[in-house]
Amino acid sequence: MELHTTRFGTINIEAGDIITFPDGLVGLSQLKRFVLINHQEGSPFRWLQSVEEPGFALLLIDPWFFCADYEVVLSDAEVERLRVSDDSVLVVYTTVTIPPGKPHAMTANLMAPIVINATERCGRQVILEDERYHTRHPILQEMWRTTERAESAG
Amino acid sequence: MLVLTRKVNQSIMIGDDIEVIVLEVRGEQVRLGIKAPRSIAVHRREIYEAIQQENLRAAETQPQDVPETPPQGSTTRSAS
Repeated sequence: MELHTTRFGTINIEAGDIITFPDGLVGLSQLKRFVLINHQEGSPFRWLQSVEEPGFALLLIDPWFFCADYEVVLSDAEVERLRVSDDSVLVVYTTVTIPPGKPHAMTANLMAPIVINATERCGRQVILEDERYHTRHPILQEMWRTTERAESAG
Repeated sequence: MLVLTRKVNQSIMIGDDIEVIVLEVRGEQVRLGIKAPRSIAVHRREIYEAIQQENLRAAETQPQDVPETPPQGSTTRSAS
């Protein structure tokens, strides 16, 4: 089927590409269906494009790409809501905010990662009750921090 | 808004399966216990609002601002 988006024009998707977020995103409960779009070949970034809202897409990155010691602990309730079973494949992303024209100032929301059960094609934005994490971690600084730690340890 | 007065260890029921219990009152701080089914997410309002705000802010990000080459991080460096 065809999906119209404001950022990527009209793209072709299969019904099986759609990932359902039964509760939507935090504060945006009306957005329940998304597809993942690769940003570019070889890029660590992907987009979570809304199926319902052509203009709504969130930039995603693998959090361990820039924060090697990031920890996501899922509560039993979250595990249940994500329909996790023994053979589920779980994928974790964090959303990335880039202020217009300022890529160096990009931040990641480590407090509320996007967790996708790739097997069940369902996802949730999980709120981590962990005081280390907030909604605007500067990505470049996080990278330097974890790199320095790795180098001083090695 | 419905306003109720409760003492420590007293509670209110919201529907049949959500209970909010006053555990402790100390000066301006109130500790609440919440019993709710697992399907109900309970969060402090300011956290919920901060995430909602960040989701809206993140959704303003445009593809032309995304760096073409990945930032050089620990993964890349240790491999070289």
